[in-house]
Amino acid sequence: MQKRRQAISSTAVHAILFSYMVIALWPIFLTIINSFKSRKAIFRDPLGLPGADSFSLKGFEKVLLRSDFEIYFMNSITVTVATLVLVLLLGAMAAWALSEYRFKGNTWLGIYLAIGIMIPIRLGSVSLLQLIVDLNLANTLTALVLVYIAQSLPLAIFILSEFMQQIPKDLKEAARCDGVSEYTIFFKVILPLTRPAIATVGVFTLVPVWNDLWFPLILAPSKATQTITLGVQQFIGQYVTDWNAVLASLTLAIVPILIIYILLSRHLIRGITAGAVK
Amino acid sequence: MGASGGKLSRFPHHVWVFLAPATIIYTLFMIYPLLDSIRLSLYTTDGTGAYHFTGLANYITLITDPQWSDAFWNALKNNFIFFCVHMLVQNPIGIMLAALLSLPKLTGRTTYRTLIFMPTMLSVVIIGFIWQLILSPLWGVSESLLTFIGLADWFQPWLGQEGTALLTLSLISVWQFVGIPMMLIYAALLNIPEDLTEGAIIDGANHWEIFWHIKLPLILPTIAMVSILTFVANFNAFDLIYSVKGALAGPDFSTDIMGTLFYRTFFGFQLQLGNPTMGATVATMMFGVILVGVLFYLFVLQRKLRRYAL
Amino acid sequence: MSDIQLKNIDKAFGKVKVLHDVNMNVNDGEFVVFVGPSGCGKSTLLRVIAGLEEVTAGEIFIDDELVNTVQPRERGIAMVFQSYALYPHMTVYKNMSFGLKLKKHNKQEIDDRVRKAAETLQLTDYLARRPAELSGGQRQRVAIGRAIVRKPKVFLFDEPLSNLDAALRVQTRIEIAKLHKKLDATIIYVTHDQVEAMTLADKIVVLNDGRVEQVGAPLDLYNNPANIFVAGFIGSPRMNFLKGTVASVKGDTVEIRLLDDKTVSFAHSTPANENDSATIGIRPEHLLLAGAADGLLKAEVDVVERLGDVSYLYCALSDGTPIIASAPGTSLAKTGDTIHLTARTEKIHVFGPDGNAWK
Repeated sequence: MQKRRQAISSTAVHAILFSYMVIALWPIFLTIINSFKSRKAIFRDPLGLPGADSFSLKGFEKVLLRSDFEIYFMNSITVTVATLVLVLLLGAMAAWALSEYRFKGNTWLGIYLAIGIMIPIRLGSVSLLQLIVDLNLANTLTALVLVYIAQSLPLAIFILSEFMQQIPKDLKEAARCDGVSEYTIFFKVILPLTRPAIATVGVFTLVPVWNDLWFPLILAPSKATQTITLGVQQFIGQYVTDWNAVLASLTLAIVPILIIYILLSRHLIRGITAGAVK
Repeated sequence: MGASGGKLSRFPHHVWVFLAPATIIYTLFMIYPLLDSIRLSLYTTDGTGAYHFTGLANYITLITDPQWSDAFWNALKNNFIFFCVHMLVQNPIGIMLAALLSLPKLTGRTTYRTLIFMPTMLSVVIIGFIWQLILSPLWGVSESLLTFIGLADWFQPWLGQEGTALLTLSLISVWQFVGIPMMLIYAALLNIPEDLTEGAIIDGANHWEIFWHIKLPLILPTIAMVSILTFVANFNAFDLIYSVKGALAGPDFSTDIMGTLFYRTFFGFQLQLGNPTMGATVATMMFGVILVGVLFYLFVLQRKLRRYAL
Repeated sequence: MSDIQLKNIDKAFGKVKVLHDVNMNVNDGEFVVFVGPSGCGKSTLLRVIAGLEEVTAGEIFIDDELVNTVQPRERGIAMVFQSYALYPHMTVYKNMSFGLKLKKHNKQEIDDRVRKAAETLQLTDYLARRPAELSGGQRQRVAIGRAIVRKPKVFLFDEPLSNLDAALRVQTRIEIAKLHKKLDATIIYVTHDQVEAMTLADKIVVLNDGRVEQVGAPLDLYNNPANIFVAGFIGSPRMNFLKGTVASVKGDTVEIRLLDDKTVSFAHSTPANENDSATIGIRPEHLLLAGAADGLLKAEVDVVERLGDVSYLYCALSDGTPIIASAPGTSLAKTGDTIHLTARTEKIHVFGPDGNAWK
């Protein structure tokens, strides 16, 4: 009897988790399958899988023909990668200085750099736009990268310095006793040891940057500098009634992220949970 | 022992080199714009583009002048509704899913976790469009699904009706972001030592009692953290409403929140011209709301809810 | 009555088998200690009895009732964890009363039981504190108190002393022994420390690699270890083992040849053949210093540990085999000395090639 009760409750748990999983996935699934169908099939049988008679790549043709998806992709990748690399480097340097060296104002600088974790940079947009225009950076990817670095640094520094505090003292002191310079200690000893935390910082930096709509919209809306998120938004705004094209553009925007996510999900999730524990 | 020695007055050159790049970029592109926005909110522009100091006049206009205040209070109210839906739906569902995922001996844990978290990874813009299509009466997917479960009469163009649009958009956002409370709380639950649950099992507690009496009190600080993250994200939201409803946040501003109001004020819409100083005023109000929330979290919640060493 | 019977218990985690055909009885009021090296399955066996793990095969009876599928809470057991597993957000009082509250005992009774247990454990002044505000020893007592208030049939202790410092460990050990007398309780206690096992137990169960090596009273295990494992595990310092071969078998007398052609003879009933290999076991405390003429073993002293009342001589035989001898505290032996050792025959243990003791 005991066993049966356990089996029933375990079935209930699976039923709940499975139903929620379906709720989480079917809109995405629906979008993807319909992007491979002819217009007629999309409306006649939205829930069916694309078959021999309903299969069509027309939507994708239209998207690739009428928009510059390749450019959007390249822009997004450039911005994200540049941000990621610089945030990791500059963040690690600052985190190291804050967690290792005792100097006047250490605590205050730490608090100052942490403000940005809670206060969204978006609220300074009015002045930020002015600043970018003054610097002659409007409609450049550089503007986006600079803003995204500023946006991502606070959390990166916070996570990295928590992590660096756990690096055993002996390691650095052994190096110091050997007369190694502080730069060498950082680049040759500390940075390689920080690798596990980099996944965490990477997730927190990469996802919001890749998905952001606001800053591309106000800082770099020109055709040549649109990121994928903005590009899709604009494209759909233009072709809102062309269901093939809309579904195809959504699929094009979703699939790369899904592939990366599925490949890296273990690391991503470990990063999120590890970061959260602190 | 070099730089890590006890003398606080020393500020060797390598500390400068390590700190300067991050601090400069952060100050220039984050702190300066924030402060300068607050400064701008105290100015007004005339036809020539020159700025004049006006003190708190912009705020008084925003709060009392019907031309502005209606929109402002409407957006603030909608934003609170948006936040409440997240607190009442997203976070309880997140906690429930996390509690189920952390049950001992659950098979398929990783798969559930990975797949349920998936929508969170996607852009809000994409999610907005997908749901717009799904809920569109033109396509009829929702209608046929409802028919399938015998609720055909329930179908309405939820996104298009004044009474339901905001709630629908809130639920779409909940659907997308439920993964965040789920993951954070799941991590907190994993952090509770197994001995503690086993001690409770021996004490005679069932799964429900263990959750209610042991686990929940121990994860309250994490729930508070999730709440403040939700608060900040919600009062900073923009992308979803903008991509589904546009800058006008229709129908009839019924889905207008602070983010969309800020955008409209700053860049203008239809016949109204963009107004940077009023935009800065709205942004500063948002800043104020978020600051109040964050301070409440830091000085009330975080002090009251003790984190127990586990 | 609260006795426990384990019949043919097997337990596997996936493909890894951690318990092999474990059989034993625990009688009412008995203090039983499971002892063995880490990873031997002793904690798993305890958890199986508690109901925290399901057995792969076999039967568990508590008071003659088959409890294999009975939930832990209905088994009438209480458990003290190594980490104490105190609820960090509850006061000492709430920690102790939590289980009773779940069982819906009335308030007055809960209060009586908690206060009585607190008095027994000298915790009365700490009832309003949280675990973080207590010392290690106090937490340990709260964990015991939480078990006592439930008036269980059986107490299960999982290495309860291993988080305490040495002095506190000895003191708490004595407290637990007193508590056992006072409560007249059935206790099963897991430890890797043979001193704890020897001092506390009515009955010791020695486990190794998921198998029961021997069950018996402490002195029984000390005097008559069933095999090399038990002989080596019980007793401190460890028993000395010397390789030998059977030189001759005459009736029930067996002569065993050791190093340097020295021989010892025993009377025993286990059949043996000439040239069988055999292992001789002698405890350090049973080795005596002797003159060169009648010494059984000749050894060179490597290190001398002087503890005051007794000195341990760490020596090596001529073939390098290490051997420990205990000498009176007044002994003058020093590093580099050559000494001769002998032992009374009845204190020598002989183990066959399979590791089992010859009787």
